[in-house]
Amino acid sequence: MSENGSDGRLIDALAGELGGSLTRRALLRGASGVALAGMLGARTALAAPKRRSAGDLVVWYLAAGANPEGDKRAFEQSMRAFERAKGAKVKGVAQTLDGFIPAWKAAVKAGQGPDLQYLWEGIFTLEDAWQGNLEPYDTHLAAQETRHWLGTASVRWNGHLWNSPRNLDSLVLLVNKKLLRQAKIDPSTPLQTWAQFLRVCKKLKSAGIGPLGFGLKDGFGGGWLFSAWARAHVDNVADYMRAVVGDADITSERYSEWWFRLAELRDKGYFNNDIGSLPLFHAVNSLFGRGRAAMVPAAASAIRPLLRQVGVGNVRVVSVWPTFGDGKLAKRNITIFSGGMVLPAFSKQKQLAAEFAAFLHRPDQLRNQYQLTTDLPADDRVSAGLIREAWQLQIYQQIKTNPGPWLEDWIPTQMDSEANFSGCQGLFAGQSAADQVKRTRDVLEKWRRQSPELRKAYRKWIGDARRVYRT
Amino acid sequence: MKNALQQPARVAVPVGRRLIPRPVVRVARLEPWLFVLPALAFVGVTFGYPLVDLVRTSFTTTGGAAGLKNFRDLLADPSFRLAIEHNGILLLAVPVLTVLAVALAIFLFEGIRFWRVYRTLVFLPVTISIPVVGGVWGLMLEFNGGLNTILRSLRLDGLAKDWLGSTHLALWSVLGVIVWSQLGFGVVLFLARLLSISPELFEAARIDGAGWWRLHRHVTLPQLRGIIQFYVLLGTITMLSWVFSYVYVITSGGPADATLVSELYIYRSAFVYNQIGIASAAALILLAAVVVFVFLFFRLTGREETE
Amino acid sequence: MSVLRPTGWIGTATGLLKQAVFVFLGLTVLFPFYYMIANALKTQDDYYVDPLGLPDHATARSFVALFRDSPLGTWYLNSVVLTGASVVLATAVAALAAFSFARYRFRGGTVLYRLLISLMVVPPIVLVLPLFVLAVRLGMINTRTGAIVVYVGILLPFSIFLLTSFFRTIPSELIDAARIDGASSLGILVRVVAPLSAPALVTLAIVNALFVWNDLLIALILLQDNGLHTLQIGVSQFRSRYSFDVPLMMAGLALASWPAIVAYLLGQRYFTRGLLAGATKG
Repeated sequence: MSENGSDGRLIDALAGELGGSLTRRALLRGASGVALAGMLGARTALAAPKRRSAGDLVVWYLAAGANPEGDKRAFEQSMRAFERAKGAKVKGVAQTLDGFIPAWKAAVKAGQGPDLQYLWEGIFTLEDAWQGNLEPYDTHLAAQETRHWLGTASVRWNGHLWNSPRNLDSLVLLVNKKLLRQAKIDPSTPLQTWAQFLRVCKKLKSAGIGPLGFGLKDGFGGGWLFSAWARAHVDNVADYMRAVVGDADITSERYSEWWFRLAELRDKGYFNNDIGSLPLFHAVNSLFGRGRAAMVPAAASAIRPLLRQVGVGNVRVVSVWPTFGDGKLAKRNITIFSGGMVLPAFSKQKQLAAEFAAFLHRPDQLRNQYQLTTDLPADDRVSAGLIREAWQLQIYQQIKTNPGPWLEDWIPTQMDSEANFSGCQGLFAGQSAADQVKRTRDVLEKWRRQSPELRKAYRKWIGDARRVYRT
Repeated sequence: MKNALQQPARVAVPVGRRLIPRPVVRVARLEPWLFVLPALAFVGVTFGYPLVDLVRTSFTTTGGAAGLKNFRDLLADPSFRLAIEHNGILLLAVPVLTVLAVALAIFLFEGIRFWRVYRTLVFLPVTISIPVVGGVWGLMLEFNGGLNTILRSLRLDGLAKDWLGSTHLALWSVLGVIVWSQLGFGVVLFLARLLSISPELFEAARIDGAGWWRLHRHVTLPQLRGIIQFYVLLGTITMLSWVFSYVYVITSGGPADATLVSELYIYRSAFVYNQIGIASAAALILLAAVVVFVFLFFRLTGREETE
Repeated sequence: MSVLRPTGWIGTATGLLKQAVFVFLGLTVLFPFYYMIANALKTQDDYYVDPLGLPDHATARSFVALFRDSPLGTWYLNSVVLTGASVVLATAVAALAAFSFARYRFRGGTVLYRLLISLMVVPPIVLVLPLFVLAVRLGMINTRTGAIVVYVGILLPFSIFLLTSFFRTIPSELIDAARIDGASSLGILVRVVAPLSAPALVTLAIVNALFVWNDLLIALILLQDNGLHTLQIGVSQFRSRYSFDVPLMMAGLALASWPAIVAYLLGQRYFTRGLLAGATKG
């Protein structure tokens, strides 16, 4: 085979070169090492933990909130306490932020997995409920128990309760009082109407201070701006939802004015010029923390590090957002519980699982959770006396007395991602507000066409939504 | 030896049955299958059931059987078309990577000082986990980030663009990061091939009076051809279906879907929008397209060989 | 190969230019490592003040927290076992198949080979749901065996592609000679082809090991038990919805990365040789 002549020579040369380091003996040694490793792998594989016995309760949880490590400890301690109280075995499986949804969807598809599962609030819970993946709590727990749970408005559907909330959160506007003073603005100046808001922004800007700081790169910020301002003209959540489902015109001013107000803020240069390239938390932390922006949106659970950087005395927490509309919702706090525990429909232990969810809401467990995480537990049995910091107490009182929807929780996930996330990015990349209104309309039309079943269930949800945030 | 020098390198990336060396001794008919069997078993478990399931779910929605609805919805969805387009643009990374990697490999091969150090360094990005790559480049490419700070300090303000925030630039920035992190593999691959070429080949060309350019054009490149084909096919497949992690950590598909790619589209449909049927249909279309591409690729490279 | 180098002042100039190119490349390559270490040694607040600079007050807080609160030993062990077993198996199985594709002509062989290569395009993301279902049905959920089988399956298309390309370059004379000596096909693979391909096998092992070592998705879905978590999963647990402890994450990634980097530096000798041999005639 003449065409292989060069090959042969090369391989020979190669073999010669390797001769020193790679003798047959060395190869043999290597091979036996490899075989040993393989056997070791197989042995450990066989020694892997046995599958659970029938009586165990399996909990897939996500340690979340301001202090994930503390939350993990709180979860584990509650599980041990429940084991002692009930004599049942509880096995906790810590999940990761990016992985727990795929893991949960896989479990649903297999019909096997956890007896209690961590899931986001609102639409994230209900889309699973609509597909028959969940069991409601009220068939397993008495109303005396569940009525203490806070923030549950977004997980009620068809008259049932579908998620057991873990900790409360709220979308607030942080104001740097020192920078306001620098711009000759009274730091306690009212920030309710749009005119007041714009006036403060203008003064800040002319004093050379960045009025607003934010980041849209990872998208989530778009959902926050939507939640803050899209509700300006509506009196209740059901009103907005009718536009989503197609019973009202989403392009009308009532629902779409916020895009134009956002464009106004953009055009006046009130936002940071790198809003498009900063991820949400990085933007909020670095811009507000370094005094490069006088006002930033923030989640209550993530405020503490900012207060530490700027100084507690220098920060004002605005827990009802300045707005341009006079809808009833506009004057309310933006409230959620951030994730909680749901009952998988395939579980064989629903009752026990529901009891564990209730156990997590026992005052002693809530207290422990608060002490380990400093996140507000979603239960009205937490004594307000537990909360030592004034800013957190202020938010907690707002959540209890003046709760309002975090509107993102009430719209299809597809709309949030493709209209709000993409829309805000597009707007700040130079597209017009009208483009975003059109984008929203197109996305909703697509959603209605692609997901007729989800739409049907969503329509039913409007009935439940009429009953929340009324007083 | 003379013969070997004149002989152009034969391409050993599979180029159709003609070039597969024939065993002289006859073997049992079943034997080749026995060797392939273990691989088929593993691949069957890993891909067999999922692919069957993929086909099945692509014809269903949450409400039950759906016929071709998912495929129709998919083709009517501008986001899906956009995602495919973006994968197409990312394919431009393949020639860029190839040219750069060949050039750098030749530089190293020509024997510059510290070439071993550089060879090690150039490959290192391949070992860095993608979250770190995304974190670093995400920061560097911010509008007021490291890169623009440098550009502005050099009075090149005009070049200080919003690399990740602009809908026109973001995809190119992602492409740049992918090139940066994948370049090393190609360089090491090509360099290794160059080191295995017999020195006489170059010396003979030198004696014939070939200059730098002609030398590489007529000696080096033909020798690299087989490995380049391997690299191009690998790169193409990477750009079509292994870019998820990069996009996910650098831009999450934004701004305004400017970096949406097909994998991200599939991921969102399946895990965010609760539309498993659409996700499956999209994956199926992607797979079919690549099967066709791979067969065409071998057909074309094979034909080239007979000329 | 100095014979190729231009001489005289042109040589000096181009030499300098090339040095500049590689120094620049080298710096951009080293920067991520600097970034990882520097930020692992900062506090969260310091990170936000200056993410790119050196730490003002270096602190080992993140590393201490990791060592104190996390079962790092278990994570390392799990990662090592999964990586080792998957890589060994994948390499062996791929070698068998590649030998067949490279050395035999058989009906359907070419088509099968191309289909196998095409499987490289299936994004792992579409596999996870059905794989979980399958693992549950086979009783392989939460077992290392299950995860290893899946890793091997995912690694095989690329591995077969690489090894087949390589095996085709081994001269038929060597194989024929062995056959005439009465060696069986398996014997030829083990005694002739494998030793000649040892460098290529090392190459493949390193590339595959990096994949398994850095994988998050498969391990996450198939190994739900806390005791089975790998380094990558363990490290990712420190992210939450509204906060992200970057220093902790970077410390975790640093602890997760060093074995891969050390393995590369140690294996580089064989690795580049593997590529060298693997590249022979393509």
